[in-house]
Order: sequence, then C-alpha cells, then structure tokens
Amino acid sequence: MQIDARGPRFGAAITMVVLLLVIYFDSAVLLAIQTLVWAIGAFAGPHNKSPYGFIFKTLVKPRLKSVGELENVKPPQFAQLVGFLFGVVGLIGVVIGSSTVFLIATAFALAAAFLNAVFNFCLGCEMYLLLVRARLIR
Amino acid sequence: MNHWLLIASVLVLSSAFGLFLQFTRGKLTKKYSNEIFFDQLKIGQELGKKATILQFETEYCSICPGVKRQINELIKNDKGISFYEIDAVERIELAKKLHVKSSPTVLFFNEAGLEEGRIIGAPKKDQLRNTLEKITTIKMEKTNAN
Repeated sequence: MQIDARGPRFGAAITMVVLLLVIYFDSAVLLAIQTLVWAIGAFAGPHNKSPYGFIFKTLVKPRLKSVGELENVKPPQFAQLVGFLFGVVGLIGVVIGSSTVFLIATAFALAAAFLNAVFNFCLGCEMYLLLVRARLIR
Repeated sequence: MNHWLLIASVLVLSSAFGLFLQFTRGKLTKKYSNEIFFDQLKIGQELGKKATILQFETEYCSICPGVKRQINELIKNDKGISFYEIDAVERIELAKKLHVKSSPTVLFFNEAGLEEGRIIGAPKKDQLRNTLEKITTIKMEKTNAN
C-alpha cells in the first residue's frame, strides 16, 4: 500500500514537539500518550487510525497545493514500531524508578523524530530497508 | 540531569548527522572501482551509445520515483543515453558486487561501459545534467527536470 510520504514526516514533527515536552517536563504521562500513538501507528498503520495521520489527512493535506511522492507504508510503519519500543523502554524506566533510562530512551526517540522532521531522514525506515536487504523481514 | 543540556545535546548531535547526510548524499562520488564494466553486470540490457544510467532502487524508496522522473526528463531527447532501473532487493548479489548500499544509487557508465561515478540519494540541482555532460561531453538541453 502506498501513502503520501509527507504524512509520516508531519507526524515526526508533532512527535518531536511532544518528546521535547516529555523531556522538559519529565512527563511520563506524555510519553505514555506518545507510546500509545506509536502503538497505533505500528499496528494499525501510520495513515489509518493514528491521530497524527488523521490530522495530516483531514487538516493538512487538503491545504497542500503540490502532490506529494508516494511511499510504501511498510517502512514508516516499522519506524512507528521502533518508536513504540523506545517508548516502552522509557516507560519501563519510569516503572523501575530510573530517570536515566526514561530520559535516554526518550532522547533517542527525539533524535530520530528530529532527523525525520528536519532532514527527511527516517531512521526506522532505513533500519527496515537494511533488514529487508538482509532478508530478515519482507 | 540537566534537561536543557540533554535536549541541546540531542539536537546538536542530530543536526550534525543530518547536515553530514545533506552534504554527502545526492552528489557525484568517484567510481568505486576501475573494474566495473556495464557488460559484466549481465542485466540483459544494451549499453547506451553515449552513456548508460543505472538506478538501483527498492519498492520502499519514496524518493526513487522522483529521481527516475528527473532522469527521464533529462534524457528524453537524447537516444544515445540509456536508462535502466534495477530492484536492489531482487538483485541483491549484483547490488553487493557493485557496493550499492542504499537506494536510490545511480551509476553512470561511459560509452565504453566503464563506470564513471555514482550518485547516492536524490541528486542535487543540476547534478544529473552536469554529470551527463561530463560523461558524454555534450551539452544537455536545459530542461525543467531539476
């Protein structure tokens, strides 16, 4: 399935802002919400039920004049899974009382979201491609 | 831990990496080896009379169709330049042999079939035209491709 490649990048921009707030306010609740968003993106697809995908589809895309490139949904969906795993690790840090684990996991996710939003470099997508090329996934 | 320091560190390091990618991708790099000739690839396609362009891509590559459009637009009036696409996943052994590690990677072969260079990622403005001009030593017609 093909989706508008600008959608995941828009989602990454929102994710970046959310993660900045998570770190600044030390907010486990915000990270839990973001992790839920990642879970929806990872298991239902970033275009489908994901809140960020919904915002892009209903509010942003209709206002864009140009037609965006299409991309296969699998790499950005995998990237959501990677984000979800970082979120889970961060939340485990909260549960075990380790702010270092919480902050480091969030920081890694922030770096990935920042690279996607600002430089259009999707780290999770690149990981997916490497795994496909290594024939570990299809 | 100082949260501002953590945020600043993440943003600075990510920016450095992102800028590195911006400066290195999409530019013509030197050929990987003197040994790579088009005929040896055995892809079942003819060598172009002036030049041959080979784009390695994957079905998951979002920028590949755009690069393909750029190339087709640029060479549409020049029958001497051949352009072929290869799926890097389906032809993984060939991709490995040619040291193709990401998509798109566009290889340029001269009229003798020798690789002259490659562009990894989306080409910069005029990069494709300049490369083809260099290889074919003809002036490409200005187009809106870039």
